[in-house]
Amino acid sequence: MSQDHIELFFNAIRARGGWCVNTTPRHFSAAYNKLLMHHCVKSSGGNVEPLDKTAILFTTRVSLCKFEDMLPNNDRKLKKLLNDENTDIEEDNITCLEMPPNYFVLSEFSENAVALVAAYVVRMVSKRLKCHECIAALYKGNINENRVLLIIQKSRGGLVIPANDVITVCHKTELIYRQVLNDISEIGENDFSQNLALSVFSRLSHKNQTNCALYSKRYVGVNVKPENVDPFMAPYSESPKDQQRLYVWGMAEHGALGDLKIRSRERQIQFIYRPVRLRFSYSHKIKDLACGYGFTVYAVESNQYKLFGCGLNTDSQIGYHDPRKGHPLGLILATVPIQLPLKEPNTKIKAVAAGRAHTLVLTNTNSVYALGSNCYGQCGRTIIENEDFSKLRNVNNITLDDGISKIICGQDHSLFITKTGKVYSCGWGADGQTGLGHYNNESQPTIVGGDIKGEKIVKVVSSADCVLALNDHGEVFGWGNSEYGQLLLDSDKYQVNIPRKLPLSKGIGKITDIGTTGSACIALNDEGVVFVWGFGILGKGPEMNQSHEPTPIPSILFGRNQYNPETRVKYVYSSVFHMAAITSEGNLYTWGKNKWGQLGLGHTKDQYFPLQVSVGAAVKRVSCGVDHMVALCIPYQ
Amino acid sequence: MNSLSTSEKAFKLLNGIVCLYKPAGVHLSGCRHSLLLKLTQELNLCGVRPPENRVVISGDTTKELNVKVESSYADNVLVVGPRYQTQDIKCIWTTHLGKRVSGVCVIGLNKGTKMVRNLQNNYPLRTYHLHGQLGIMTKNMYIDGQIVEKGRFDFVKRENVDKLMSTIQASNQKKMFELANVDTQTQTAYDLATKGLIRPASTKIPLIYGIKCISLDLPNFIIEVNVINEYESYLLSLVHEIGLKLRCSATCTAIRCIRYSSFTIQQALLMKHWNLQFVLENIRECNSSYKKMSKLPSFITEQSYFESNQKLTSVQ
Repeated sequence: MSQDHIELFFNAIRARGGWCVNTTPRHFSAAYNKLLMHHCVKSSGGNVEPLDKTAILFTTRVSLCKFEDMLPNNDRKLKKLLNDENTDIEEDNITCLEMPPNYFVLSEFSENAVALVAAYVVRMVSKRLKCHECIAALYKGNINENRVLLIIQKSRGGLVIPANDVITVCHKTELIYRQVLNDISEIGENDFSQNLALSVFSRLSHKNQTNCALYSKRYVGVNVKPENVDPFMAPYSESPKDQQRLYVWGMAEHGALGDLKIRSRERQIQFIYRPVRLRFSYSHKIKDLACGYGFTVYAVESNQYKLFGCGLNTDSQIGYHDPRKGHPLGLILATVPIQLPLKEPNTKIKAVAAGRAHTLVLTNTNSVYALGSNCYGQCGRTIIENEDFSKLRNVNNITLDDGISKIICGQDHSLFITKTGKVYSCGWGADGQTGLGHYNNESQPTIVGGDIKGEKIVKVVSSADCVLALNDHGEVFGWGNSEYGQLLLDSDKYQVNIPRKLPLSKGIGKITDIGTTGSACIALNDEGVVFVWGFGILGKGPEMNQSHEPTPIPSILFGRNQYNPETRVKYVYSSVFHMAAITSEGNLYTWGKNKWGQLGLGHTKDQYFPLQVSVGAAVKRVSCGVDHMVALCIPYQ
Repeated sequence: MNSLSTSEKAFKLLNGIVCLYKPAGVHLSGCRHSLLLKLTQELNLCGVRPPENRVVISGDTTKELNVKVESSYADNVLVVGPRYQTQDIKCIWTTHLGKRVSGVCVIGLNKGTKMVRNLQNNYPLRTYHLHGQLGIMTKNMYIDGQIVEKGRFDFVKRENVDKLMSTIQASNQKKMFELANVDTQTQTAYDLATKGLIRPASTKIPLIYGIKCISLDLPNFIIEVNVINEYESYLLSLVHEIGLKLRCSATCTAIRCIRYSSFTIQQALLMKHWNLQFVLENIRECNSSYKKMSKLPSFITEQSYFESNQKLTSVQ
C-alpha cells in the first residue's frame, strides 16, 4: 500500500469540501460524508491526478465499471456518440479524450436521483395538467426497479413513481445539462432553457427511445389547403346537417345568456328580445340544459369538462370561480366549466336542473351533485345558520337507494324521481311544496306520500311553489301553493302539504305533459290539446285572466289550420311568468309576461296568446328561466 | 228533349273549378286560350247537334202555300264556324301568375267563375318554391337576364340562411298585425287569431306567413314561402334580397306555385292532359274540395263578404 492512496483520498476531500487544512475529526467526517454522497464524475480542482481505480473516492463502483468498460471498447463508440453533439463541443472533448468528463453514463446513484427528480416533475406537471389521459401517461408504463430504488427507499407514502418515459426524458436532460454547463458561455442565457429542451427532444426523437407522443395544439376541422389552391379561394368549413344549435334570448345583464359578442358588454345590452345563436354548441355536444333564476347550466358530453355554466353565481350555484384568490366571482359573463368531484373520470352527466340559487346534476352512476345555496336544505344537507354560500367550494353528493332517474328544481326546493317512480323531496316547505305533510324546511331527501303513494310518477314540474306530478296513466297530482286555484281545490284552502290528485274531468283525456308557472298550470293531452287554468296570462286573450277549471287553448293558435291539419303540440314548458309549447314541426310558441324579452318575440310587451318565436331551426327542447330562455335546436331537414 | 248530344252533356258538366299546372314561359292568357281551344275542339269532335232546319213558306198567298223544310245556312258550321267556340266558355283565373311562374293555377269555368271569386275573397294562402342560385346577379333578377355581377358564395352556411329566414318571418309577423290594424295586446287580436291566419285588410301589400329554406346545395337553394298578395316581381326581388342579405348575390332560377289555398300540385293537370276527359274529372274533384272548404266556419261567402265590406265603408 502506497502513501498515494491517502494523498488521493485527501485530494478527493479537498476537491469536494474545498478545504482540508487542519481538519477536526468532525470536519473530516462531514467532508467524507459529502464525498460519499456527491461522488463526482470529474475530479478537477484537486492537485493530484487519479492513479488507480479506488472506486469509493470518485464514483460508485458500478458506474465506474461501466466507464472503464466503455473506454477499452475503443474510441469508436465514443466518437459515434460524440458525433451527435455540437461540433464545437466535440473537438474540445476529443482533445481531452484521455480522461473525458463522462457525459454519457450516469452513476447508479445519479440515475436514482434523476428518477427522484422525475417524480417531482411528474407531480408538478400533473398539478397543471387538466387532461386525465395526459396525467395517466405520466404515471403508467413498466417500471424499471433499478431506476426507482431511491424513491422506494425514501418514500414514506407521498412520493410517486414516474413513468419510464419521464425518467428517460429527465435522464437525457441531466446529461445534456451537464454537458452544456461546460459551454454555458457559448449559449446565450436567454434561450438556454429553450435550447436545452430542443436538444433533449431532438435526441429523444433521434434515437426513438421513447413512445412519448409530442402533443401540439389541435386544430379541429381546418382543412390543410393544397398548394395549387388560390389563397383567396380557400375553402370554408362546413356545417353538418345534424349539428346542434343553441339559441338564447331574454335578460342579458347577468350573463345567463353566455358569451355574446364582446361588443355587447361594451354596449351594455340589457336584454335580447329575439333568439341569438351561440357558438357554444358547436364545440360541445349538449346533453341537457337548465335555466335557473339568472343563470344557465349545460351538461356536455365530453371526457374533460362535463358541466358548464354562466350567469349569476352569488351562491356558488355554478361553482367556485376565483380569478383572484379568495375573491370568487358573483357574476360570470362567459360559459365556464364547473368542476365536479366525480369519483371516476368517465362518469357522464345525464341531466341538470336549476332553481333559484341551486343546481342539481344527475350522473349516470345515479348520484346527484347539488351546488349552491342550502339555506332551506335544498341541497340535501344539514342547514347551517348564516352559511356563506358565495365562497362555497364543496358539492353535496346525494344518492338514493332506488336510484335517481329525474331531478327537478323548484324555487328553493328539490325533487327527485327514482327509477321505481317514487318521489323524494327536500328544501323549502313554507307552502307545502315539499309535499311531506308539514310546512317546515327539510334538509334530507324524504319520500313523498299522499295520493302518489304506489303510483309510478314519470314527471314532476315546479317553477315556483306549486308542484304538479304526472303518473304513467296520465293522471295529474299536485301539492304546494294553490292561492290562484292551481290545484283545483274546492274550499278556500290556499296550501296543500300532501299530494292530492287533481279532479280533472274525463273529457280532458290522458295527460302527457304538464307545467306550472307561478300562478297557473298548463297540461297537454295525448290529442295535442293544451289546457290551462289558474290566474295570470293564460294564453286565451287579455280578457281571460282567471280560470277555475282547465280550458283548452284553440289549436289554431299553435298553427293548426286547413293547410297544416297534422300540426299538434308535443311538449309544453313553463317558467314563473311565461309558458311555451313546441309543436310537431319544431315550431316554438310562447306567451306570458315579457318584461325582459324572455318570450323572444322581438319586443318587450306582454303576449296574451301563443305566438310563434322565429328561431331559425327546428326546436327540440327549451328551458325556461325566470327571465331568459334557451332552446336547443337542429337544422330543418 | 232528352236526346242531347254528347257534346251538350259534356258542356253542361263544364261548370266549376279546374286546377291546372301552368308551365313556365307561357303567359296565363295563352294558357287559357290553349285550354279553351282544346276543350272546344274536343267538344266539336264528339258529335255536335245538327244544324237547325229552316221552314220556308213560299208560293202565292192567295193559293195554298208551299211549306218546305230547308237546311239553314245561318246555322251551318261552314258558315257560322264551329259549334263550340272559345268565347262560349266563361273562364276566369284566381290569382294572376306571371310568365315565369309555373305551378298550380286555379281556373273557374262557366258557373265556376263565381266559386273562384269567392275563393279570392277568402284571401287564400299561396305556397311557392323559389329556386335560386347564389353568386350571380342579373339585370332582371331572373336567370335568363344579363349577368351584372359574379361573386363568391361558399361562405354561406345553413345557419346564415336559417337566421335570415327567421328574421324575415319575424318581421312579417309584426307586419301582419299592423296590416290587419290590430294591436297584439287587445282582445280583438286574440279573436282574430283564433279565427285563423290574420289576413291583411288590403289586397295590395304582399305578406309572408312562413318562409324557410328547404334545401341548400350550394350554389343552389330552394325556399318555401307561404305568402299572400304576392306578384311575380315581388318573388323575384325576394330572392334577390335574400342574396344581398347573405352578403352575396342571388338570382332566381325558377318559381313554382305548389299550393293555392287547399289545391295542391298533386291535383294540377299537366298541359298534355288539358283535354275534355281529364278536365271533367278534375272539375269534379276540385268542386268537391271546394264544397268542403265552403262549409268551414271561417269561409267567407259572397254575402258575408259584401256585408263586411259595407261595414268597413260605413266605418270609413
